[in-house]
Amino acid sequence: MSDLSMEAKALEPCTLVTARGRVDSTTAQEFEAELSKYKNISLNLSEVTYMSSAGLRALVKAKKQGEVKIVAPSTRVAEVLDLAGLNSLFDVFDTNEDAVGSRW
Amino acid sequence: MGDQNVLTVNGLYKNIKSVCKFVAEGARNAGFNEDDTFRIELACDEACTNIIEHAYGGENKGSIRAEWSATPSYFVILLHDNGRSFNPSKIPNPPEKPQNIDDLKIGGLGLHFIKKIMDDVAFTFGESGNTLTMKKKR
Repeated sequence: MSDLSMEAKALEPCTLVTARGRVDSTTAQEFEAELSKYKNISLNLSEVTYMSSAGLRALVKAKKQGEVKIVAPSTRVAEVLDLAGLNSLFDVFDTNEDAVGSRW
Repeated sequence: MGDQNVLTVNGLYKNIKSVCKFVAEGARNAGFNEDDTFRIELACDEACTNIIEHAYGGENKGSIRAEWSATPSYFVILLHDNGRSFNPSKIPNPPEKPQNIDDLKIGGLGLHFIKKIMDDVAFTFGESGNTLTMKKKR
């Protein structure tokens, strides 16, 4: 069984994607493939317990293809975004409602 | 240092987690808190990924030998492979604070993480393979 699970819910004007578990070299492809299905994404990362640069590469790729807004990143995700200096590139929201209701 | 501080795995992405867990356990034993242990685990993850991608040029082409030890001053991790040597200084640093997503290329991010997390990083290359030594102050 994969260490990562993902769930998507189509909303207007975006898709709310929730990731849970680990995003590392093993699961990054699965993470990337799921994100690539949607154009505008509110991405809840509150239950992502681990993310390596492989996950960040997938995030950047998704952001190049459409809009990605991050919801409630876990401490670990926030730390790797900070280590990579990528914080400023992503809008971060506290709740799903805030992200979905923001300007798209 | 006993044998319990050495772990050898086949160079597959799915084995990286085992190396990370093995090193994380050593870090906890050496007294690091969970935040520091996470960072050490992340550095190991990035280093093993680099071995598979750069030294071996893909999965299942050789092994990764991980070893940890704790001195009074440092927690020391050695990662050894038998792949081709690569010069880490030739890997460009990612941009410090990228402002524009379209211009962003994030190669070299793994090495950037390793250098930021660890206090001392050294690569040695020889006939017996490549060794990465990473040290974290205790």
